[in-house]
Amino acid sequence: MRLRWLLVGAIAVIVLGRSPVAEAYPQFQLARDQTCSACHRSPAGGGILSENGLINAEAISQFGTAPELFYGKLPLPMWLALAGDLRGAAGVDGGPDAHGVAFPMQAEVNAVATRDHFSLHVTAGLRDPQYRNTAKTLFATREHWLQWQQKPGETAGWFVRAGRFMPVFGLRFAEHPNYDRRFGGTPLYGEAYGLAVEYIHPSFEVHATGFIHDPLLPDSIERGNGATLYGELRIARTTSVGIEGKLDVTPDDTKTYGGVTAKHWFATPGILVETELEAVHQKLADRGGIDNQLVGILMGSYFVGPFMIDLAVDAYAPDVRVRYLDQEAVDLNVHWFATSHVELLVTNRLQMLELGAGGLTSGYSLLQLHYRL
Amino acid sequence: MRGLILLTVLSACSETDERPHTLAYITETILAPSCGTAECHSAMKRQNDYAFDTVENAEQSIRKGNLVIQCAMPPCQDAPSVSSLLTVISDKDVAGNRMPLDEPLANLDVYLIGEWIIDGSPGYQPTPPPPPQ
Repeated sequence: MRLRWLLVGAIAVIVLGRSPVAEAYPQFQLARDQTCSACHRSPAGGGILSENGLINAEAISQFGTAPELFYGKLPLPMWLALAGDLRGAAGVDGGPDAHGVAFPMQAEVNAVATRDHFSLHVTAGLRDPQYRNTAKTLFATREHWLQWQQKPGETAGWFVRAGRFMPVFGLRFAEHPNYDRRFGGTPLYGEAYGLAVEYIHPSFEVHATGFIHDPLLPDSIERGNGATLYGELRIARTTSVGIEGKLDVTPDDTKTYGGVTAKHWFATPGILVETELEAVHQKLADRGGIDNQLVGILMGSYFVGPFMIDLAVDAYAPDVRVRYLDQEAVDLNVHWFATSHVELLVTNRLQMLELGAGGLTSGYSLLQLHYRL
Repeated sequence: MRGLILLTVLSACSETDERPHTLAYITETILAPSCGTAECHSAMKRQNDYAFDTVENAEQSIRKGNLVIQCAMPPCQDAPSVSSLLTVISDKDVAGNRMPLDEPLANLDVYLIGEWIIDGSPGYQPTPPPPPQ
């Protein structure tokens, strides 16, 4: 009996185990516009596209099509915006025991209701359900916040947000397996309740967030309370640098993150290069020990027609005092924006342990289909 | 047996590793970041009803699955080879998969967990403490 359940569980992992929630592509910043808020209704990016974002979605795609919700066939009042994402993938995944996989990734709707300076943002849908508790845990609202905006309808100025969202920190790639997300303080489903004060200007932006772990969901991924700070200065139209900091205090440990980011857009030949480097100090509770970690990513994104091709190198040192714990990964992702709503991408990863010292390798190669409502 | 062989090989090639042999350290620096991720053994997902994202969850999961064997008087030299926690991260689980599924643990981390088991798995209590009066 136990064996049977373990087998069922293993299959479930294979089928459903990698269920990322993908959001915005920070590769578009500088390559298409100066700020995330230029294309998104949220000052942090992600979620519902603004009018400019819809125009960009149509412009970059191979076959165009009306970029609005349901191709503009569903008229909405001015104060309400709706959107949604459906995403799934199939391919090969694994370490020494690689498997064929197929799994849903995302089925969420977004809504923004606006009145004057205020707006209510909600992202709700399916989440990765708890093992043998699907009925109670399948549906969730991952994000919901109330936003005050100094200049309604504009992309710059002061923003204040209160509610459940991902504290703004670092480059914020959509690909959650990237080490700067997985080990660098912005993991999958890492949303928390927070209060954010943010200022966006075409040449710089600052995001300060205080957060607490979800008091209603005892199984939330973010277990701690703390704060994040992210500042980005665009020293030229094609270049930005940023600094980041985060404090996260859980019952088990305290983590302090510090790091830098940088982006540069080479208009010819159309390549965006971006990097994020972080140092993480982890102190366990009750004098349980400390370690210092390093996390980094370097990505180049080549924009050619309706394609975006990402080549990235990830590195993670879990404890700088100990050799042969390092992890490295190489990612090659090819995005094809077929229409304003349909994106097809191939994501490939090769992961290595103890580079040069004979560690095991692993990876995945997945074909992913994304439909934006 | 495979666990013993692995430990023997690793002990010959490992460098100085003075990391603590405690459940808290192993959980927070190895199990939580590698196994306790959102889509696997987090409290949110509890794949196969195991969670390794906090010290408390890890202890409960180890206890429930009897994943670590202790002995009366450490060092428990034979314990790693009969502890399924070490088996699944160094070889295969009953479904034939080495854990973590997406990326194996570094050899030194496997070795550290083996050493922790030999030391009597400090910080882990196979029976839960009585509730406070």
